[in-house]
Amino acid sequence: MSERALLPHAAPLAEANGVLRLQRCPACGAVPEFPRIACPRCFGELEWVELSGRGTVFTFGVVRRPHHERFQPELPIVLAVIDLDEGGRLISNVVGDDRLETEIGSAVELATSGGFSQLPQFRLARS
Amino acid sequence: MPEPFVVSYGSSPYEKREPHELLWHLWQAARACLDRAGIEKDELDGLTLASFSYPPGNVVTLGEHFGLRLRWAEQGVFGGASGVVAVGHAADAIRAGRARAVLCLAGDVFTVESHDAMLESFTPAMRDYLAPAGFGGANGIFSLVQRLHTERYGTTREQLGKIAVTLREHALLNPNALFKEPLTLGQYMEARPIAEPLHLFDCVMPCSGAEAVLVVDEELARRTGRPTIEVAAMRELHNAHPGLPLSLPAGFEVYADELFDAAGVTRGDVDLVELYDDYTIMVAVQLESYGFCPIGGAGPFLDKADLSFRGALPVNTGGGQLSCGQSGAGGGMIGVAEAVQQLQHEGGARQVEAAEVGLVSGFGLVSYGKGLCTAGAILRRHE
Repeated sequence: MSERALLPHAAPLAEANGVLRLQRCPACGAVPEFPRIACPRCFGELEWVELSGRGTVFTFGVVRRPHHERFQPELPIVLAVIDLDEGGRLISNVVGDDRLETEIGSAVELATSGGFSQLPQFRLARS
Repeated sequence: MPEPFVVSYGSSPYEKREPHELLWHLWQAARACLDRAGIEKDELDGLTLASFSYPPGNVVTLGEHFGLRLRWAEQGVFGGASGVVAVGHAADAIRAGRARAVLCLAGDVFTVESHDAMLESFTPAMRDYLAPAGFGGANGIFSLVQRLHTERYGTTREQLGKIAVTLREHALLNPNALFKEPLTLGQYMEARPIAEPLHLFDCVMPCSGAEAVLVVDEELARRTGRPTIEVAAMRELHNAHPGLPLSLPAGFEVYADELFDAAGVTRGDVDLVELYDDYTIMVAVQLESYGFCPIGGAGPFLDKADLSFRGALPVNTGGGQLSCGQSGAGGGMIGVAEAVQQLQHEGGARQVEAAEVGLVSGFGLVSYGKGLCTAGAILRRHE
């Protein structure tokens, strides 16, 4: 099952090409947790920016039972709330063979390979 | 101003698979509720409905199906908060003279598989951002809450297990509950992981069923001869914390004091609480949020508290969704129906002695990492 196309306002999220692109509000600086048609804080127009892709794990869970069989090969899936270094907090995955070493506070970076989604995913930082 | 009273409750027979269709469950719950009150179907002039599996049908087409002329109708779009919201809005409609007899209905037909399929596109954000992440359904979402609660406050699985074990004890006294075997803390601890730290008995089992309560004006209430239950106050709050992608805090804490004040009761006056128990961790969060223990203090509270129907703070006296089964949107009404049954002193083997005041809490519409809708109501037996 191929992934569903995002709505027009959100499409750049899936066109990352190795960098993390998210929306930021030029007026108030908000980084919405998922793409919006307008800034959810000040209601102004948002712009897409490139972020470092670095952040820390705020909390996470380890999915052992998938909600759809297409995810069976990816188990266990680490679902995580990630605080980005530049601000903003989003829900994503920690991927990679060492993903079960994830802890609250783990440093993560954008995963440029080894993921299973067109959306940005992260891996434990290698430093 | 006409005074509204809840006078009746009803449930359909819960089923694990789907031998019966949704309309049968809604009919069974409605019939049980109306028959108990001695109110005829055609005396209804208001209806609310919450159901995930009924679209493209809605509250008005259900009125068509049942042959009802409705002066007031409301679709419950608040997920698991819809039951509590419905009772509050129905009471408001009666006070405003817009309706005299409102049936509040909620139910679904679900299996584990069909429930998973629904969650794939439950809300726009869940469809677009969480389903592609293999989020594991609501289980994954609430694993985030339990992990953080444990990290921040030291809450243990044993403490949360007490909730599951007590609710199972209650379910064994409820003939409509689908879980018929006792649950020990050992069994809870040894259960298989679903979305760690959540294990099997932290999670609800989707099932088929429906729940109903009936809210009528004072004149009709007197005619039924039933104990009358006031909706002393209801508060709802949606997207309580914009930008926060998880349910900690969840939103109940924002209106809790206002709810008790508006109802003119204190926490000490509450004889029973019916909390939205899709997950054990959310029961803990609600105990904290409504102020029965400090924020973060659920663990030590659970160590000492007796949550059984004989205890100081009876919780989910019918077994809740965790031990009855989650009948989809019916899971947002099961606590309301149980509270009415208890306050009418018809709880049978699980009756809370001299129950006068109940808190019911609803929670739902999980979207980007959290339940968007919260609602609470104080129900009070009227003498």
